[in-house]
Amino acid sequence: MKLKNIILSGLFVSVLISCEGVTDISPKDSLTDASYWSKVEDLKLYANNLYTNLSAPGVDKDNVSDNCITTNYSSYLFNETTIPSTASEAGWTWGNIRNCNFFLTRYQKVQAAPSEVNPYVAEVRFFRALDYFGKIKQFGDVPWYDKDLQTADTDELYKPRDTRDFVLGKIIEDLEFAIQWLPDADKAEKGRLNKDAARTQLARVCLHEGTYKKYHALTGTPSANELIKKAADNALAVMQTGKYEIVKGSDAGSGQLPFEGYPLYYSNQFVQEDLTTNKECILPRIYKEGLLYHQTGRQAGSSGTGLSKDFIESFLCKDGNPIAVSPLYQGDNTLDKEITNRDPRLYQVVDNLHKPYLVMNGVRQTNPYANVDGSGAVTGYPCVKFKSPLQSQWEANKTTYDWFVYRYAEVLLIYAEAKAELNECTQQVLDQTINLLRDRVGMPHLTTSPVADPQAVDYGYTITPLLYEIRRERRIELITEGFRLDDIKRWKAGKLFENPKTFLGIVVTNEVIANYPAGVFGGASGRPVIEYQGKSYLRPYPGKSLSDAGRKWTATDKRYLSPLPTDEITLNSNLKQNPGW
Amino acid sequence: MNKKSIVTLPALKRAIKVMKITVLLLCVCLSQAIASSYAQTTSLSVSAKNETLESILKKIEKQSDFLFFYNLEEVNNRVKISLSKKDCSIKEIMDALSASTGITYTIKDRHIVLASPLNETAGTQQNTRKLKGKITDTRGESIIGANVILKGTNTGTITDFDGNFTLDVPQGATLLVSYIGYLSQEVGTANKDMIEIKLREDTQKLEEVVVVGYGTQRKANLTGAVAQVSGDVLESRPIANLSQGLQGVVPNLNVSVNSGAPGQSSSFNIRGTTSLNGGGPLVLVNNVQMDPDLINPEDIASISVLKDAASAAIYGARAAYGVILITTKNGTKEQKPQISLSTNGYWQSPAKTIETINSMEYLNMIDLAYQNGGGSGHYYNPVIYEYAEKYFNDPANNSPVYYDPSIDPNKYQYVGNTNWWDEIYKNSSFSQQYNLAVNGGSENSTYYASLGYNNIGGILKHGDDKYQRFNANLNLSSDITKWLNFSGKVMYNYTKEQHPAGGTSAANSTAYAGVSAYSGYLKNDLSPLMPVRHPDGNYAGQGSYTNPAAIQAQGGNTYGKKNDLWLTGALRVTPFDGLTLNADYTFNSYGQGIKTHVRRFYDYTAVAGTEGYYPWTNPNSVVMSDDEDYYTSFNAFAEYAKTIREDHSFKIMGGYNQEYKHYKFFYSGRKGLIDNDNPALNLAVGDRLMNANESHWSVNGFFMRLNYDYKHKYLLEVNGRYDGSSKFPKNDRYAFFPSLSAAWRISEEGFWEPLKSGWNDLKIRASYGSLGNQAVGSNFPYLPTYSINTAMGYILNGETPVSVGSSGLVSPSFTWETVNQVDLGFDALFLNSRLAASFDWYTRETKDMLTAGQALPATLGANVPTENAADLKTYGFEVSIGWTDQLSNGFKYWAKGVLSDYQSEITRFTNPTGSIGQYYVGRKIGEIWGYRSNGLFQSDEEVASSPKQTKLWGGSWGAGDVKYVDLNNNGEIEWGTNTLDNPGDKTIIGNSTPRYSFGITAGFEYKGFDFEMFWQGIGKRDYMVGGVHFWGFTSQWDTPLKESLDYWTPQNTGAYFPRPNWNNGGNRQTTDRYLQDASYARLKNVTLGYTFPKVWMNQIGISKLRIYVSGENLFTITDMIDSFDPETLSNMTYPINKKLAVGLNLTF
Repeated sequence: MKLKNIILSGLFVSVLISCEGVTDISPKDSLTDASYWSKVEDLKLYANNLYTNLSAPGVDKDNVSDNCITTNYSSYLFNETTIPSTASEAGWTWGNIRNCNFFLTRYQKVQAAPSEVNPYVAEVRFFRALDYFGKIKQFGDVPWYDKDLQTADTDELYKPRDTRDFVLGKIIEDLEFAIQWLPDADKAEKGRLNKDAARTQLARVCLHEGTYKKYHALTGTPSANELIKKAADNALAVMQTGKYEIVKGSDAGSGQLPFEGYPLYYSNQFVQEDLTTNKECILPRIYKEGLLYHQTGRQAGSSGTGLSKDFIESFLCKDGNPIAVSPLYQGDNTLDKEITNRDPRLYQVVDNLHKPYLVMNGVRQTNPYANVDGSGAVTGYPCVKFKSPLQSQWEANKTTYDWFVYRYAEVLLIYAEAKAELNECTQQVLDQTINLLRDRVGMPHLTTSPVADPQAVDYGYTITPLLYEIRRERRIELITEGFRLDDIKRWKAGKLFENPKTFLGIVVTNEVIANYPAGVFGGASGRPVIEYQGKSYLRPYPGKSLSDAGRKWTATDKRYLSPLPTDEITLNSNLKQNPGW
Repeated sequence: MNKKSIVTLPALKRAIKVMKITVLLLCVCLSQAIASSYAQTTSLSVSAKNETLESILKKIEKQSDFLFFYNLEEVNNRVKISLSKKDCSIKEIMDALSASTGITYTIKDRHIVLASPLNETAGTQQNTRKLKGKITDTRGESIIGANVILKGTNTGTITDFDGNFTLDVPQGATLLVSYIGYLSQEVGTANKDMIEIKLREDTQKLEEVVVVGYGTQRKANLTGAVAQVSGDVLESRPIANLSQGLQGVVPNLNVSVNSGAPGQSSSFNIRGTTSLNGGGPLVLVNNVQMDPDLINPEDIASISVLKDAASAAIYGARAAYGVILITTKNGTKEQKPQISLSTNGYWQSPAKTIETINSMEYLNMIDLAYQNGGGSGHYYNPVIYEYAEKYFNDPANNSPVYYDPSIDPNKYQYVGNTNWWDEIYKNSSFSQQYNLAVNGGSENSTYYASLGYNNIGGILKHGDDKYQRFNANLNLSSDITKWLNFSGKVMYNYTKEQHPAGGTSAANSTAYAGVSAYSGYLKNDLSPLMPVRHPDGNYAGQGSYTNPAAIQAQGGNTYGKKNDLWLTGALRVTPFDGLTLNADYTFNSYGQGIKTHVRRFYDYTAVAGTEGYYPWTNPNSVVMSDDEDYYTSFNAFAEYAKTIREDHSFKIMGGYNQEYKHYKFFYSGRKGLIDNDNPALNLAVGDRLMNANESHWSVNGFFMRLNYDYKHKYLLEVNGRYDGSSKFPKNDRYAFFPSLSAAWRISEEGFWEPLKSGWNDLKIRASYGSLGNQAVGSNFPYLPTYSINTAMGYILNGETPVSVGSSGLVSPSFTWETVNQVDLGFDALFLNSRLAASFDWYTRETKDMLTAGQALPATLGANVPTENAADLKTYGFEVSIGWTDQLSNGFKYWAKGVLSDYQSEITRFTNPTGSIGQYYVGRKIGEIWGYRSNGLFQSDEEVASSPKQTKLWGGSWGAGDVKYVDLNNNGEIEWGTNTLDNPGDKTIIGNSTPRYSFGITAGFEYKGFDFEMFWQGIGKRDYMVGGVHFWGFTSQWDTPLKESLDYWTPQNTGAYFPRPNWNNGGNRQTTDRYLQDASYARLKNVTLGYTFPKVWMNQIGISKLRIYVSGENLFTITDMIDSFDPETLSNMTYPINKKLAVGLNLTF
């Protein structure tokens, strides 16, 4: 039985051999704390991941404001917001802060010169500041964290909110660090953060917080004036680099074929394939055929959202005077009349007969009348600011235009406004700023003593005609770039929403009716209209009265801050709800 | 104890041998020549000193293949015989024995029947007469060696080779006829000289051998909760894979069918909620982990389901939630080649048809929804309504599109009336299966070889989706020497499938077109206004709409292939009687290659030259991916069985198991195909992309089992496994898991005797076991790993760069989950074993479940890490009851029902605030929190006088909206703090756990006809379906289904649904009003077959020919809303199909 013995001992040995270390294996394709943070490249790869937090293309950024009216009404603007229960519904999300702090508590392991390491630290601190700025705008006081929390960090997890001022101080520190260490714009990799982007962001933060403090009469350090001054200083620093200018958008770059006498120097800027060499662009978000696309080409002008009557009326006439004053104003019996002799930016942002809707094989097409559908543009003023004349750009997720993350025009507007708030707005300041924007579109220059608009919108308080005009310029120049609601909040200008024209569309006259197919307006199935101040207006929300209580904002309206999620308040008893909610 | 059986029960092994050989005799009909030759050619040596006859016969049996049939009471066993014969024939030996004891004998091949002349005189005092009889099975074949005794006496005889017997019977005597594997029968003898008795096979098979972990066990000796079904349940069914065939067959083996797409797999569960982080049963095919969907159902011999911890414990850390043991078919020794062919073809179509609303209903409803949400007038341009109505009323003379350049210079306006369900799915598609098997064996070896082919056609109308599976299987086993057996298995599975790609691939990951291989094609936003094609024949869509028909037809396909090769070699060594050593090694190589072709196509418009490419599939691309997995398994185990002093039987088994699996995956792709129709990676010019991953896991463990059996009455089993898994941190990698089970066969006790004729068998069982669970998420869950994006969606420096993200949080105290299970049960047989019943009650505690821990404030910034944070208790029961009977006219009929139930609840979870959004102690799994509703508001006044509902939706509520009940009477409908203390007006309104799963099988066989039907269902289940296809409109992009038309209007005040309004999410709260009763009963299968009479078939060389028709999913009873299938609970998936099949089974 020799064979038997051999087989038996073979079995026995194989059992013994095979037990050894069978389960002692480690991951094959993963990075862990132990294997990361060894070289500068690691820092860069980590920082890459945060870039998607920068402003992304979209046409809906002013949807909740007095500029735009949406198909479905905004429950916020009609004061019907319900208090969200979960953190994600409320926007009380902290993943991004953790991602930044995760880096900031680990990057020190990389042994390299500060000049190599700090530019990436600067990027990450920039992103932390960006996120925290969003949080203080939304919630006011928020807890400040400078490390990635662990489950055992109960003191930090359950702490009460830090004051807005404290967090603001940290944001400024982060951004100043970023300004110190980020590369100059011409030395940065294409698409990466640079000094001027950080300066612009700091100027934006300081103007926002400074004016918020001023108009909401808040005290504390830093003071409103200090902040506004910092905003002006940082805006000026960008201006003084000499790298930027207001650019007349090229027809060639956008594929546009404008009509004679109706140049599109403003709107062309927003349909450019390459902004990396565009002097108005401080930081682009880059898109490229075959690699990465976005959707604005498809959405612009056909998402249901329309511009408000109030916004259309805010455009000056070509002589630099408001419509209530200017003899050039043709009235609003038709859209075509309404845009005649107005600030040329008006015909560049509203779909009309003077801007080609489609250019194909050198042939221009326009829409005979502006869309007034629930599925097109509910006010009859479709916003075509980001609309390309090229059909290839309209397809789903096929837009390749670069996007302005920071645009020089904003820097100029920040500087002008800050200077005006500081009572330092001289003609020289205006010529350095607002008038450069006006030059692009051929509007007369603003002076330090403009005509007071007799039909000025009501901010709830009075301001100087100069400041009024600077704010008007800001509203028009930055339309649908996402600034308006923030502006209204920092100016404490909720009163603006009381104006019914902020939720009315075109005036529906017989001429207008004749221009559209039969049955579009009035009657049982047509678009409803309503009489207001002697005219018939297109009425997007027939269920809402023109004097709806929700449109009235009190001096201490809860809506200046957002509600905290109830679940989080339940979890952390140190967390208190914002006033009024 | 008074032994009733007159044949001494030989060792179990012998009984099985008898049965096998008898069956063999019956089936194969060995020729007389061969049969007699064994007795003539075999020479034997026997030596005995003062031994009993029985002991000498045993000796002969041991060294030869001879089997003796005799009545121990009859043969004179008291005589001590001394004998010494060398190299003699059996005849010589038998003659010698006959001389010493006076017995007579007959030899027929290997069978020797002994009889005693004493028999003739037994009981002659009474008035007896000679009764002749013949015992056959239901097919008329003689039964050799059956016991025939006079009831109430020890007198009897056994049948001879022709099944005949002769017995002196007193007046009025009753005969008790029994034979192993058959049901015992009592037969009256009154006034008969000749009697014919047909024995029915014992389908309950108490003697059945059940496959258990690393071995087999007699069913009678099982102590755990193990259910076994034979491969027969899978035969002749038009099923795509094994799991579909097992649905409803074994109580508490729950099978979920996810969708009806060709090649789609199902999932298994045993005994309900396992762990909060999931976990299913371990599925082993011939003791290795194999994808059950890849194997050929026709190759399966049996399926054992080990349900309780005690039975599963031998498999350690992977078996916490039960084990499914699948055994494939083997050959039989000494059987000439048997060739069997089975085939069927079937037609399938969706089991449930769903209808979208037509264009007029759609336009009317969308306007209402728009207006109710604060909008006004028509939602669309008024011209649309006019044209749509024309087309609706007279489609023959109107167009589903019209062109108006003033609305859009290039595009058609859509005014059609399309029923998308009809357009996407065919009325029927054809599928077929073929299976060819050969098996047999010689004296020392056996073989089984099979080929299977399964071809399933999909039901997509415009695309070409299909699935094919090829199986080849070879099992060989050979006794190399008397003590060494070698066996080898080779199994090769190959599948091929094709599905429309839907534009989604790694090259095109942002392309959500909503259609993919397995997902639903009935998208939420398919407007009835869009026709399938423009009048010029081009597919509609125009870039603004997704036309699934166009994508199916032109968007390219995904081609998948799987190669799955299994090689197993096993040795079995029997060094001496009672001890067996086993070792087996299995190697598996699994590869999956997928090629995804995203094909670009024109999306035509109204004006030639303005068409563009359909954006989601442009640019075109090809992505090729490859999975390459290797798995090895090694088992070595030894078993020793010993019986001491007849009554004490021990069996001890111990061994070692290790498994290692290595995964590798990569893909590469490229955009910009030179030839749009040729997806070749080397023929593309655009961006390249690639990614890969690689991982592995391993387990090893030592296991042991001890069985003790006292007089077949008291049974005890102890299991233990010391197990290790690579999924845990090094210092916590190994753990010991014990289990214990015991059973008492009460019916073997003396006191049961009076009951035994009616209640044949009763066994009660109890078990307890503790198991670890290693099925816990990723392969290295204890290590925090960074997220890596190889091409982030952001361009830096001209490219989409690699980015690295933070790792999630990992709990520092990460360790095993432990699963403890108690099981109590009984098995019983009644009425001559015609009625069988089994019952088990169990409770399973899952301790230290790895789940998200206590909710922490969102400021943590990450998901709460998985930790051993919760305990769960699951309890339930399962019952199976079966009846099988055969009437004397040969009519055989049966019915079997299985019923199971479970519920689970949380017994530990840290949730100090009592948030109802989370687990809390006492929470039943599946619990549905919601509001109560008392109808719809009938007027605005009613709204004004009712509690305020503005917290649910801030807009203005009106007539036709859902009215909620103010349970806490605070004048307002709200959710309080969403906690148990203050849930506001929310309360528990139901539970989505499927309760009372049942399966009912009933059938008959008569004169060659066989019929069986099989129902499966769920007895109780609440389900809140929600979603677009329930509510109708949740946004302006939706298309409602017909069922959604029952909405409130001032004219339809008794409506089910509220007035349409996509803004008012308040109407769509979870509420008892819209909670669905998702219980159902579905006729899963019905089969009618006919087997041609043997006499005809034998003449043409066929041993069996059966033809049948069969239907699957033909009929469903449910209270669920019509638009949903109660099984998938979704109508956005590929529909489950009903099938109609014809097939045949042929054996040579």
